[in-house]
Order: sequence, then C-alpha cells, then structure tokens
Amino acid sequence: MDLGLKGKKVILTGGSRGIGRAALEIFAAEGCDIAFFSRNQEQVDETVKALSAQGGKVIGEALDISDLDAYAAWLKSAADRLGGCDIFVPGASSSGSGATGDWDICFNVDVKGTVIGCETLEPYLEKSGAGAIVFMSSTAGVETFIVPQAFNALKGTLLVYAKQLGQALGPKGIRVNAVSPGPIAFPGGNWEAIKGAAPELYDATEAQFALGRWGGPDEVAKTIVFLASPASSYTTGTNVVIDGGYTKRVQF
Amino acid sequence: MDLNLKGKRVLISAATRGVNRAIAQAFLDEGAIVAFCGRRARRGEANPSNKDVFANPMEGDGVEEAQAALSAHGTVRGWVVDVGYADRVATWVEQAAAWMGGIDIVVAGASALGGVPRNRTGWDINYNVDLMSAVTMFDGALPWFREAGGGAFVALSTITAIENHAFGEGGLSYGAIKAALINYTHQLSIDYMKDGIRANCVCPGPVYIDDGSWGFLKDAMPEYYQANLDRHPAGRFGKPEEIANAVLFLASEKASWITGVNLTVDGGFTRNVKY
Repeated sequence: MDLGLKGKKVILTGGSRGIGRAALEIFAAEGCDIAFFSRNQEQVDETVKALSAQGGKVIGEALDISDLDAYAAWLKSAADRLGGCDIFVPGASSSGSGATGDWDICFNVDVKGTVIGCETLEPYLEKSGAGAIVFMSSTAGVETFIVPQAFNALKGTLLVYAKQLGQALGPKGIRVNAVSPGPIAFPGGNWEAIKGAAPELYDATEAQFALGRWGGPDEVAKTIVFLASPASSYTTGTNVVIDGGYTKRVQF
Repeated sequence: MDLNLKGKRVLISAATRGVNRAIAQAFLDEGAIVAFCGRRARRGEANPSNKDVFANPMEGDGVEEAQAALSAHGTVRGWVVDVGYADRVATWVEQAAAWMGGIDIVVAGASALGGVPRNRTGWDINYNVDLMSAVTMFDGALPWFREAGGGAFVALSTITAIENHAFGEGGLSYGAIKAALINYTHQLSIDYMKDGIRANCVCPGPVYIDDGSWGFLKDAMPEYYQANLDRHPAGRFGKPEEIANAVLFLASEKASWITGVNLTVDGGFTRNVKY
C-alpha cells in the first residue's frame, strides 16, 4: 500500500528518541521532508545524520519547549524553511522529561505545547490540502494507571481537544486524530528506569499485556504515520489505542 | 429515601449562585452543614482579582447575599475566595474544616465555563479554576476524610467533555480541561476506596438559570440558545435542582458502592451511547 507520503512536509516535536524518533524514521523512509526538535543537541545531531541518509530534507534543532514563545517561533520558522507543513505530530511530552506528576509542567508541555502548535501551524496545514495532525495521548487518559497524576488527567484533556479540533478544522480539510500508546519499552525510556527502580510495578505491568510482551516505539510509530498519511484520508476525530491488550475496557 | 446527610460537613466551591448554590441549598435542606465560597463579597462588586484572571460578564449574588439567603435553610458560612489561586483554595479549605470541625463531603463545582478566550490565558483560566481548584480541594480535605473514616468527593464536569459542542471561537479549553477532571476523579476513586473515600463526577447538560450561562446566552446569542433548545429531546433545559439531586445522591451513603462514575445528567441532550 502506498501511503502517499512522498514529498510531504512533516513537523514533529520531541523526535530524537523513543516513539517520536521511530516515527521520524518511517516518515523519512517514505520520502517526507522533516523538521523536529528535542532538548539534547547531541541526540539531535545524531538523529539528523541518521535521517538524512533517506535523501529528504531534514531540519533538526535543539530547543526546550518550556519556552512557549520560542517554540511557536521555531514552528513557524521550520514550516517556512520546509516550504509548508502537511503533517504535524506534537510529540513532546513531560513524560519524557520525567515530570508526569507535576501539574504545571505537564499542562505547559503536553497541553499548551499541543494547542499552540496546532494554532501556529493551522494556516500551513490548511494550505496543504492534505493536512493532518496526530496527537500523542496515552492509555493513562482512558484507564486507571498507577496513581492519580497530572499526566493521566491531561492526556484525557488532549483526547477531548483532538475531537473538538477535528470538528473545528474539518471544513479546512485538516484531519485530527490521536494515538494512545500503552506502556512502551525502549533503551533509555521510562520503563527501563522503572524496571530498575520499581521491579514489582514493572512485572505487574508486564503481566497485563494480552500479547504477553512489551511494545516498542516502532509499533506506535507505524500507526502515527498511517493516521498522518493520505491513506487515512477519511479518518478524523478518532483515538487509536496501541497497547498490546494492556487496557481492559471495551472501546465502543 | 433518607440520604442520611444530617450533620454531614460539606465543602462546596463557588456556590453564590447557579447550580452550586442549588447544591448548597439542597444539602442544607437535608440537614447538612455547608461551607462555601465565592469570588465577590457582595452583588455588583467588580471582580476583586486581577482582571486577566477571569472575564465572566455574568453577575449575581455575592457571598454575603448568598449566606443570608442560605441561612434560612440551615447552618452555612461563606468565604470570599477566588478559586483561580490554589494557595487561596488551600487556605479556605483549612478555615472551613476548622469551622465545621472536619469535612465529610467535598463538591468541587467551580468553573470558568466556556466563554473564556481562545488563547493561552483562556487555557490558564480553565486549568486553574476548573481543574486545579478541585485538585487542591481534594488534597486539603484528604486528612479530614481520613479522620472521619471516609468521605465523598463529587466533581462537576460538563457534557462538553464527553461530546463536542461547538461554541464559536471560544470554549475549547473548557471541555478539554473538564476531561482531565473526569480522569483525575476516576483515578482518585481507585486509589482511595481503601480509605472509604469515594470519588465521582457529574456531567450536567445545559441548565437554565436566569442569572446563569443559558440565561445570559438567551439574550446575548439567541440563535445559539434556540438551536440548543430545539435539539433537546426534553424540549427544555435542566433545572439546577435536577443537578443537585444527582450530586446529593452520589455524596450520600446510599451511593456507598458507587465510585469512579461519571454520571451524565442532561435530560437526554448528549447523543453518545453511555456504555
């Protein structure tokens, strides 16, 4: 199946490792031009080098999303340098910075980062004719997860906002969807740290996967790319759960 | 059915008017003690806070008028608190608990509603008023719940958090932030059931009150008002008492096995199947 991604211009935030990095690799392999940022310059440089091998344009820079004005300015600059924006994946999350329990940090990074990103790039996405946004939510937004904390609650916020935005931007030809990964393991990720610090939580979590194993970033990334691509041209306002059967609710 | 609320100590935010005022009155009529708060000391006062914090054009009773009227129904005291500031909420919870000698029930009903501007300030307002005031109320009440051997937390969300309702250019932050409140309340229900603390949500649909949102919209946006009324299967909007009844039941011991629920109370307004 041709996803129709060749030549599409993708902006993804927080892309030097984990799910974001995996998505960038697929977008690049599909022939997209790409812009991304993350906090660590070394990781950014390494990612730029790896993605550039695919032959498309790659813009990667070090930026801390907590400065929301600088973030908005970067998005605009990135879209201008790419010559437009067809796909936006606001992937930067407080989870990656270990702040899942901090209400204000989580609100700023996960919620405001997503909201401001969509508002900043809306004119570019409208011009695209195939504009697509993929939100990063979490199974923690839909089912009880560890303890009451900001990350879980505010991922719920993003699911509602994705639905609202899908309705509001539909007339402009922009689709908005969300993915909700369950616990995902990768070297240097949160769950690797939890495995060492709280092995009981790690084992109890592992026991909940119907598929009997942890998921990897690539398995979420493929769904992000599919939802973002013209192959999903009539899908908007939905939330795709990718969790290996971790959650137990029926998703009506 | 006796809800056995007599003597229960109830903390409720933003109850000088509207749905929360009706909830406060209903608790008083059942014999409960009520500590509430509101932003204005008296009707007609300007917003005492930074004008950037809130821009709701609606007016209504202040804390003094509400306390005077509610006193006819029972033992009640009001505090002037802007719940957009978490530290002020925390102080109020302490003062209210000291006055009542504890806390058995918390109703987190404060909301900046859907008329906030669609910008960063608008998001901040809903985040602080709708979400963080509730988080702060629960945290402040937790030691008192434990001292009482249990408690009930009821958060007021909105149907806009479970089904999209376009509201011009504004209001997207309202439903989205109220969703965080539903999620958080559910998480609390799991974590604190072992302590005898239940946590539930109520999602009201449109409620008509003369000095409330829909009373305001009837004049300010008559076509929007009529369109919503026309699509309502009941042919009318809800009454504040109809929301209060649901809140009282969930807060009462008759709901002892109900926790983590998000109860839609909308007369059938929302279209989604309630699986």
